[in-house]
Formats: sequence, structure tokens, C-alpha cells
Amino acid sequence: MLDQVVVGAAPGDAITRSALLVQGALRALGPSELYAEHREEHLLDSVRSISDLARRPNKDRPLVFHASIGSWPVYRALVENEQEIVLVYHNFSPPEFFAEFAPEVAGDLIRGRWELAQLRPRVVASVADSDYNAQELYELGYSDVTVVPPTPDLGRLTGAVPDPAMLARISTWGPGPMVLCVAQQLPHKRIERVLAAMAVLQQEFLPDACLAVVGVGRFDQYSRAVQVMSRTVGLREPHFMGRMTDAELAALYLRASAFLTLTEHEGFCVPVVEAMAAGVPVVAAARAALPGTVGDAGILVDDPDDPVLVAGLLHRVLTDLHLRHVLMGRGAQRARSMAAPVSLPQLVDALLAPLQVGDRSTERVPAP
Amino acid sequence: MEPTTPTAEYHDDVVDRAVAEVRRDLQDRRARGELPRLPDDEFRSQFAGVVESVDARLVEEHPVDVGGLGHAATLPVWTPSRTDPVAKVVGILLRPLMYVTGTFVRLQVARFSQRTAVAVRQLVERQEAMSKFLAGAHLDRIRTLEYRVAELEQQLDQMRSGRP
Repeated sequence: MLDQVVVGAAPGDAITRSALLVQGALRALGPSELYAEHREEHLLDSVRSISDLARRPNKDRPLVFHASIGSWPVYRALVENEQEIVLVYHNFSPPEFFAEFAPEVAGDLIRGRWELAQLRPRVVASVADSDYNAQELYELGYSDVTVVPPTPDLGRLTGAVPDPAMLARISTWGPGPMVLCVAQQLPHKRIERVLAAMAVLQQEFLPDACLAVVGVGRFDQYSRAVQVMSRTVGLREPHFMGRMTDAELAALYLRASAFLTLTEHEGFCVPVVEAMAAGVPVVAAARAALPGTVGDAGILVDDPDDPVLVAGLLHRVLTDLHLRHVLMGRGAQRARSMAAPVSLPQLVDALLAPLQVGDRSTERVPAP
Repeated sequence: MEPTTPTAEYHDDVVDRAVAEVRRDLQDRRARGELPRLPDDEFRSQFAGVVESVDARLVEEHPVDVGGLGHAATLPVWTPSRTDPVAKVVGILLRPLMYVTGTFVRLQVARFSQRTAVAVRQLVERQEAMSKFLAGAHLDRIRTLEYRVAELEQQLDQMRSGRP
């Protein structure tokens, strides 16, 4: 039916999950392959190498390209492919955050924008997973951008049996409320803000509150600085959890009293939607695409650099039962409206739009 | 980066109302001098200080062990077997040659070895001095906020006591 290209494919990556869900839906209509430059070991069977793109099964149809970072091998493969492109824009992180920790990544991010500008004449349809991302595409000269949420697969958490070992581990953290932050340890995620706010929460409001940070460290220098910062600000026993299985993450969401993210830049932020689906109230920085993702179903902080303000808001969320119930109710409703059963058919329809109507009018995409 | 939506405005919504109340309470406490106000960009510079200290290996790095570098290294020599008569004879024949070779090598190496040990010691001393200076500068940065709080408290005391 249609083939897709991503730059990197990793098991916990939201873009990879979305592309694999799309692939499943497209395969109900015909053959569909997913290609990537970087593939983690677990995905070698389901994702093909970008070097095999020339042998793809749907050579006569547009190629779906998920853009999230620049990549010379992917760009070259797309140019050599000479086929029309359906662009799915997941946003490029601002390069300035990476200049200090990983200049090569900053370079890839800068080049990514240049590549998108070069590919524009070949793009027959463009999809963005938030209004914020659509705006960036318009600034790059694109037009008629369709906005569809990035098909968060909430069933993987809400349907998973919480891991008993993780539940037992969490029970040793004490009786206080647990605040959960799910974010890779990347400079623009500003994990240090979370640590400072939690330190103030413990010192000023709730001494027995604890913090769990889920997400792998990508840059050693930043991860070490975060570890040092957690001690410098006087935070008591933060739990850095690294990579989690779905069952382990489900256990953390089950016990979490609030979800906190103070990232400076997000193209959408799937973990926020996962938290809302799990019934965990969300406190998030009012930055980039987060206001669009959170809506009125969470608390948006317009000054995330003020740890006292964030701690005060967290304290209110953790202790005001009425507010908690309102946030949980709105969160569940908002998560449902964005989840894969709703957004996946919309996304697949948007990807198929450039094809002739006759090709797809008789076929509907099944819900996952 | 500028925030995209304000949270300060009051609307007749339970969430907005809660946010507005928290902000008002915080504002009042700051006005009364009970809580410090973080100067603009202070948080970023504090974390930059932490990154610099990690970068300069001022934290979580064990000091370099220079023990044993003060003396010339001991060179192990071949010793013949005590039970094998042939090896014993070979050992006796080789002993004067080994003695001469050992003396010659020690003469060649000793001066270089001592100079290396002195240079390493000097490097370690300089590194320690630099670490001490940078750690002090880093701590000053970390303590900036505490100093500001102390200043605020002092001003508050002066206001309460009516002193100029």
C-alpha cells in the first residue's frame, strides 16, 4: 500500500511506535514496509535498512517520511528514490540545547530543516502531529498541513498488568505521594527543573513526597550533571529508573499521584497523554506544543524556572481532592480523544489522501 | 523562549481558580519576605555551574594516585632454578653479565625516571590547586541564592525594627 521511512527506530520511541501502528493498518490494505537508518536490535525483523529502500514493494506510490532529525543517508535515499513524498512532521528539537552536549546532534537538527526545505517540491501531502508543528511547517514554506495526533498507543499501558516486582519496589519508597516524570534525559527536557521543584516540594510542603524519573540518558555529561544537581538542590532519594518495560511503567503510573514535565520543547509529548489515560493529574510547562496537548486537562506552568511556583502547584494538585478529580476526569476524556483508535484512522486517511480516491474509497482502515 | 499561554489570568474554572490562588499566595508570601524570588536566569546559571563542575571533573572523580612514583621502579631479574643443575650453572655464568647490564640500565633510566616522577607530582599539585579554585568558584555560585535570602531577611529585620 504505502512504505514509510524513519531516521531511527527504537523500541520505546514514540515515532517508531506510531510508524509501526500505521504499518499494521496499511498492511490490512496491502504490502507495507518500514525503513530506517538506525535500527535497534529488537526491531531488525520489523524494520528494514534504509539501504534496501530501492527494493521497496510500493515503488509506484508516494513514500511516507517521518521527519524528526536530519540525516544525510536518509536524505540521499529520498532524493535518489525520485518518488513523491508524504511528510509526517514530528518536530526538530532546537539545536541550541545540544550545542554544548552533542554538537553533532545540533548539526543534524540544523541540517534537518535545510533538508525539509529541499524536499518541499516533492511533498504531495504534509501531516503534523500538533498545531505547533504545523506552524513550523508553514514557516518552512509548506501549505495545507493536516494536524493529527501521533497515535499514542495507550492500550500498551492501560492494558498491561502492572509488574509485581516494580510494585513491591515502589512500596519501599514510603507512604508519601509519588511524582512521576517520564522523559529521556536530554538537555531540552530540563530535568533539572523537575529536581529543583521536587526539592522545594519536600522542603516547604510535603517532606515525604518522592520523585521517580523514567527515561534513558542519551548524553553522559548531561546525565551526570542531573545526578549531581539532584544532590546539590537537596532532593531526598530521587529514583532514576532508566528504560522500563510496559508492565513496569504501568506499575509506576498506577502508584503515581501526579505527573510532572517541565520540558522546554516538545512537538507533542506522548507521556502526558499516557498519564492522563492512567488517571494521573498532569502538571506541565506551558512551552512549545504542550498547551495544545494538555489543553484544560492539566495544569500549565508559564514560569517553569520558578521551582517555588511549580512546587506550590504540585502541592495543590496532590492535596486538593476536588481539583484532582476534575483533572483526572478531563484527562481521561482528552486521552481518549487522542488515542490510537481515534487518531490512527485519521492519520492513515491523511497519508492515503494523495492516492486516487478509487484506490481507497472501498476500503476502510480497521481500528487497532 | 516565551511562554505560549498565560496561567495567571483568572477564569471561572476550577483549574484556573486553583492556579490563580497558588500564584496569589506565592506572591503574598514573597511580598512579606517569607520566600525568595529567583532572579531572572538564576536557575539556568546555577545549572550551568553544575554542568561546568561535572565537565571539569570536580565532582565524582577520585584524586589521581601518585603513590609509588617517588622511587625508581624495581626491575625483576631472571633467577635460575634451584633444583635444575644445568640452570644453576647457566645462572652462575650469567650473573656477572646481568649485574653489568642492570647497572647500565639503571644509570640510563634513573635520571629520566626521577624527572618523570617530579613532573607528575608537579602536575598533580597544579591540578589540586586548580580544582580547589574551581570548586570554590562553583560553591560561590551555588551559595548565591542563600546569600540573597540572607540579604532579604536582613532587610526585613531592618524594616520591622524601623531602622534605616
